[in-house]
Amino acid sequence: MSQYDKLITDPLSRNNPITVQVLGVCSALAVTSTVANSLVMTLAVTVVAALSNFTISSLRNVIPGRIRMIVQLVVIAFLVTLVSIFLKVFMYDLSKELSVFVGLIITNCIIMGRLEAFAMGNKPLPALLDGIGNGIGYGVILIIVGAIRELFGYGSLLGFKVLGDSSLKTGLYAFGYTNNGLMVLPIASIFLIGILVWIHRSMDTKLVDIS
Amino acid sequence: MSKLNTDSNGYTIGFLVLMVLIVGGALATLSSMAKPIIDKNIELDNKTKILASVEYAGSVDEVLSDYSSRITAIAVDYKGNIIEGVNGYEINLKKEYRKPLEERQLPVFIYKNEGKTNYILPLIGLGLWDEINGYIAFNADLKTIKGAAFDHVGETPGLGSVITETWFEDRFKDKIVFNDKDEYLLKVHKAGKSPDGTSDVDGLSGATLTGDGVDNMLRDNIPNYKNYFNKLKK
Repeated sequence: MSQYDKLITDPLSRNNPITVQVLGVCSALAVTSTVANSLVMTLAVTVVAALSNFTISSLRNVIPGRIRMIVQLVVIAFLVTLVSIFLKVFMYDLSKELSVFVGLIITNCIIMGRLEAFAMGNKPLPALLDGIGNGIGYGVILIIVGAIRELFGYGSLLGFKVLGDSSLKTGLYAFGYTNNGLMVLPIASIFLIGILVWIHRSMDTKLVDIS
Repeated sequence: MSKLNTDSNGYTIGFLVLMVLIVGGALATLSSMAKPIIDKNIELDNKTKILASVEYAGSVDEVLSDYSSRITAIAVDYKGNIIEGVNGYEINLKKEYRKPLEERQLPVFIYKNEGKTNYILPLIGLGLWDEINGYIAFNADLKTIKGAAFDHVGETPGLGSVITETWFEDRFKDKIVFNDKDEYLLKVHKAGKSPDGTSDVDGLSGATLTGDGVDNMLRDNIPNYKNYFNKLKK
């Protein structure tokens, strides 16, 4: 089982899709304004990555080589549409907030990257685990960035006003503390992800030569 | 067993056709199954917004029943005459907006509760990036604002998108829209530049253009109802 464990744990750190493979950064900038957004995006990407990996891996011997990328895209697009319908039916408010970003999972390079790099050459079960692992690895970074941005940008975590209420001037705000306007902008995530990459590589020096 | 030649043209085309049929069929079925539920969600969202403009405080479960018992949706033309047989809720504002003013059907939502009447007007306009919309409720004097509820499609998160927050919507409360000469006075200013007038609303710092969008939206929509308001006053 140890090789299967590795499929899940490797993408969490040693082979993290964002900080090491540097994939999916674009969406990590856009959807990380709050923890709740990050969580839903993580869930959606993990489901799509796992199921598309599984599907493509099951079909890998019958997919015509010349159109394999088209087939991969169709599978991804199919699953993303499913997720989008699911959100609209069960979490309408959230689907409004995430609007275009759900559709843009189709263009998330992590998913296509894992299909090409892993699912096309491995059996369905390992592919499924690899998809889950990479989805979670992506999500870990998303949630860290989302937490920092929400805490300093809005003074809350998961919607709870942990630093007090800025309009009523309670908590920290009573002492003149103000929210950081930069943190609510997507640009903040590029700094945060940069810092995370730096921390990650200084903790694990083997990663430094990878690129 | 001879290995399948997955590189032949026939196989490739056959594979594509089969794939498209399966995927297309599955998605079409699912989406038509989900449509009634999604439509219901959209309806709930719209009606919640309409009621939010009059500071409705009921729970989600009560929205639909309270909407039907308290709100009458009608449509008027620009001369202020009520168009018979038209449900204001069914009107597609975006389509109406493309027509010349003379041909437009203008929805009005009349809210009646506890002996008080409010007139709620739908709004549609452009923010910085995409459509913004909302509802604005007038008091029975047809001059002052009872409340507002805004929504947006793609304003900058955390900056322009805060027009949907209650603290911004509350800034419109009790503002005077029309003076006695029937002139339109309401103005959304740049943040911090707002004179403390009875018709001036402070804008948003970091979202001046979305604020301008809100200002234009109010300016483009509300005066169309002038004639209707004047007829009501008589």
